[in-house]
Amino acid sequence: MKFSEMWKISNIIYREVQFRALLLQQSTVDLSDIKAVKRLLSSVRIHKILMSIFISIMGVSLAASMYFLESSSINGDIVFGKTVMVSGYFLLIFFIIMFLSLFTSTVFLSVDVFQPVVILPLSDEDLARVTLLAYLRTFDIPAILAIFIFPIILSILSSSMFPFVFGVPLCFIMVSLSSTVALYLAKAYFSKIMQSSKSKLKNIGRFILMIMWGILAFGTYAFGSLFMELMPILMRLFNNWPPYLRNVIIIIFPLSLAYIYNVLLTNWLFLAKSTAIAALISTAFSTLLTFYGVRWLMKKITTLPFESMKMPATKHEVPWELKIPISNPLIAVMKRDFRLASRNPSLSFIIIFPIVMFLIYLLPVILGAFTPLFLTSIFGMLIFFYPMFSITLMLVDGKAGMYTFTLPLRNRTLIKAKALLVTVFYFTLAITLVLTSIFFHTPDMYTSMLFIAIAPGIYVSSYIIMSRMVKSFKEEGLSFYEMQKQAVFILFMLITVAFLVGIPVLLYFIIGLESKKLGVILAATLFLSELLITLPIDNKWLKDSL
Amino acid sequence: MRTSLSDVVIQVKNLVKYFSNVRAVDGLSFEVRSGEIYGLLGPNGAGKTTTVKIICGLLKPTSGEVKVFGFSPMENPVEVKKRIGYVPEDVILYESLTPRELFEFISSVRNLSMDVSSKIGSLVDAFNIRQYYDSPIATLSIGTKQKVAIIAALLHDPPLLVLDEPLRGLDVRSSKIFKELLSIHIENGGAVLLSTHIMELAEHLCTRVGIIDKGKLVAEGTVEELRQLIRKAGASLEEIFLKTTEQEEEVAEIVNMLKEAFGKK
Repeated sequence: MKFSEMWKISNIIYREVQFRALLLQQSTVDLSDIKAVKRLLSSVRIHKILMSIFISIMGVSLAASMYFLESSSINGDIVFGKTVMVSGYFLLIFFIIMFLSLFTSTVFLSVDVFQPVVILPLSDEDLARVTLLAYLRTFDIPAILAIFIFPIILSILSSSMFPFVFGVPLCFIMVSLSSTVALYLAKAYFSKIMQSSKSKLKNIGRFILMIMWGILAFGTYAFGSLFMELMPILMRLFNNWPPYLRNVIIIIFPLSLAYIYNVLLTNWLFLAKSTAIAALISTAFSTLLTFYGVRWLMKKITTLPFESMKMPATKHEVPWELKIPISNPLIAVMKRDFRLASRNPSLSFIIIFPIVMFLIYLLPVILGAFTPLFLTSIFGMLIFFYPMFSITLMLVDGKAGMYTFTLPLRNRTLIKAKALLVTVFYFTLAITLVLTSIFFHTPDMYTSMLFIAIAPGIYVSSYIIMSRMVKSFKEEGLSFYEMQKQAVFILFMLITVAFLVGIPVLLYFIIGLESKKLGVILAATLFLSELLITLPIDNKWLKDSL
Repeated sequence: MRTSLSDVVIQVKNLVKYFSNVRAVDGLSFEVRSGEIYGLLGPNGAGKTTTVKIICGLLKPTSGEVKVFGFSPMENPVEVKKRIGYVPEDVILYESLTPRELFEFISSVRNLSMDVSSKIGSLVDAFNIRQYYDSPIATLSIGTKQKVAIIAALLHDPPLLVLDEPLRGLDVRSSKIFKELLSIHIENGGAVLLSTHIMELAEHLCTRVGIIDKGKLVAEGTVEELRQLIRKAGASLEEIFLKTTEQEEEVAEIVNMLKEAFGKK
């Protein structure tokens, strides 16, 4: 079969996989709405273009920064400084390719997307090639850019071929390993996460895997957004460590690859031999891992059309006991939402977020690099993200949302349960951050108390945002998915959050310049007042009538 | 919550529902009484599911009146939903939950007592799904999902069952059990509103039948009454249906055309 024909057929699988992958992430799209479906289809392309632009910008800016980096600016060893920078780029492309291929890999493994192609008169070899092409198309342009952009820019700037010649294979290793890990995680998702078990041990394992899954998926965002803040911290850290510790650290992937790259581009005769050998061994190991990883990936992808595509054969355990625990409706909704969120990769970031936030918070605390600016950005992220989780929790029902409406569940019970769940998630994080602060004596006690004081504000703002969503759903017939994209709704949400959470926090920081104690008392009073005002009026607010 | 025999359970008067400019339901009126299975029949797009959704408090009608046990589904949807066991046409359940977790959620939302576990046990064994009890719903076949939806609708012993194509995907054994369950439900004074395409099912199960076409009720009564209406003794419900929905001649023409196209030359 001609390559052009295979390319055409692979496009069918590719588009179907992309579409289903987006559906997996945005599970509440109304498929009877032609406009919504068309928008979803076009967002496949837009998503890829945006990722490509992001990789290009990061590649160009990091290559330029690396070229102009002087030893004086990092106050230490230039090679190690550049190593941190290159490994930053490596990690960035690792996460982006992972992010791009994680959901599509899940669809490749989970859904019978090959059904229309399998019935065509294609030979097994052609079918395998078509499948491989379709898989590669899911991240083709971003992968090519990720491999070439950084080495090309560095080669142009330094007027030398070496950054290109040495850089391309190393970037290729990163991209290959990333897509292999993504496919492995997708496979694990279906064989472990989606399979429930009564065994507690298996469930713990499932939870750990789910956290790993989420951290890698969510890590793209967190790493991308905090890249510039983390970079100087890591560079300073790296340069302050004694040589023997560097030898140990340099073994860590992808620092070893980045170090080897810089050694090859620098006058390597002056470098410590022991460090170079450590990095070389680690790089050889990474290369070997990539070789076997890619071989496994190719085998897995090309045999997919011939396997049973749906779920792996499930061993259904026959339970002895059919007894079910009964709780009150509020707790029942919270339990159900937690279960649904923890089992849906696109929603699990609600659970992952506190873990990622804790790690982000912990890093500068441990390194002693905690600044007021960093604290402000932490508060900013908390204020922005937690009310956003209200939307996610409204989307958690997915297509089964209509089933919930067949049950005698009052609107206020539904919304209270969801707002309470958001607050519980927030409160867990707040307590963890406060305990960390107490342990490391950073920041001061009053700012730590503010973390806890915000909780009622998170509840009230979530409650109001979700009430608005339910009202719009009933009165205007808008789906939750459509709603979250409307400018009017986004504006409403931002104003609600700014007014109910932002202003008290801002007041704390302003008054805190004079007296932090007074600032935290005022903020806590405001948050509690919001709660006291909202609680009595909610019964009148949300009628159950259609 | 049980009502006495021949109490009006569902009352639909001049129901109208528009979707943009399309009139899905056009002045529909009928009643369902306790102790009867009322079959709602009609071709695709006749307005059956829309009517069912309005009765269950899931859709707002454009005009008309609907009462379920005296409650309006528009003003009091929670009271209506408490009394209904609903099996929707497209069973879309929470795919990542297991049947155990789904039943736990539904029983909790419906404020049922711990005794529900024994009822679940009986239904799970009756429909032979014990082995799937702790498996994610996503891993179940369409038929098993349907069984889960049926059990979920029966957990609270509702006085009214609203069933939209309930036999979809069910095997012969489960269909038989389900029909027997409906008989027990009726003997206990319950009521059933059954929307279906399967004429045999309606013919054998339904006490009365309402045929709707283009959102309007075109015929109503027992199967015998409908036979008299079309003046054809011994006519099957399929024949009655095609006659009342004025599709009889059209179907005959299509059959002739197909015979010409695909018949032995």
